Amino acid sequence: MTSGPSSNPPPYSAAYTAEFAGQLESREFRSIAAVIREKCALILGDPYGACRSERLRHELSGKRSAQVDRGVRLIYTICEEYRRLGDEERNQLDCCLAEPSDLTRVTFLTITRHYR
Amino acid sequence: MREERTSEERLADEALILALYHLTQVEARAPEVGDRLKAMKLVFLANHSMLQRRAKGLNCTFYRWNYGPLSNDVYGAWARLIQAGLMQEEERISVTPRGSDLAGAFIDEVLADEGNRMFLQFLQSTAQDWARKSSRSILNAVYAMEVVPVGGRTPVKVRDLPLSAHITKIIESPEARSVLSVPEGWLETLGLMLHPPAMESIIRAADDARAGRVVLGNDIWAEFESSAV
Repeated sequence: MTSGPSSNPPPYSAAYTAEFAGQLESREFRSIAAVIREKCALILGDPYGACRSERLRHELSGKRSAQVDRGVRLIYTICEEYRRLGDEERNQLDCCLAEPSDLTRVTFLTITRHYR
Repeated sequence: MREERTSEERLADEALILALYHLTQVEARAPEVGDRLKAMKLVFLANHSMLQRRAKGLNCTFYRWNYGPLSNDVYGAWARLIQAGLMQEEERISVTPRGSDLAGAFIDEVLADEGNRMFLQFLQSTAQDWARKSSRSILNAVYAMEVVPVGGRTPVKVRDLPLSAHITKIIESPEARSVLSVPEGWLETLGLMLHPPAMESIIRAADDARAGRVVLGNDIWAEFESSAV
């Protein structure tokens, strides 16, 4: 599902959590690090639509899931979307606290397997 | 006849089963669904009523076994829902508060949608009819039901079916009069919520992001660039 990108998308900047770095170095994902990097670059170019990005629901509201392959996902947030959905009130991230907030920040939270 | 469900069918089944149990607890005003026998037959009754109207919602394969219709797909759903902390089984099966929250959101955002409302009605009527009944009375009612076994032509009482006879099957979308539609974002969400290691990793990552344990820019890739050379 794609939603909300402006016609001239802003240049998105990347942030990676310690958990993301740990997963990237893990035996499970290290061998596909190059593919993951490529997917992260695609997401930074089009965070609402690249890699079959989907807005997650319920407990995971405010986060997105993008496909690395059928069984592996990148979980991330887009600060501007997080703010628009009001999720920072419930679940503040450090970008929400920044003054002025970096709305074009994409925070890559983790790499994970998916039950599909 | 296809017995293996697609991953989308499996995820939708697990969300529907959780929603059915949540509605059952609400209807009975009880903190539990009941024992395994009751929990299994409730899914059968909902699945069978959908199939009778060629509505593709639940896709569990039920066959006749010692205590009436049984499905290994339902056993699998219990295992995953329990592992994910959405359901629990002590002596009896119940939906956890977190499971009820998820079921409520799935009902409001997916099943209450106009195109899916029929599937919510199937679950609601199953809960209304059976939530307050005992396992024994549900089993007796199921034994007395007439069903057309898979591959058969004439109705047979469940109690008269031979062991292993298939009672329900997966119907393909083109054969169905109506098909449950689960938005892709919800399938993604369910696939993560039903995979505990994924949820644990997301929680750790959100903690990192809140605490500012993040690397900005592309420094994270430096190690992989040097190791690739």
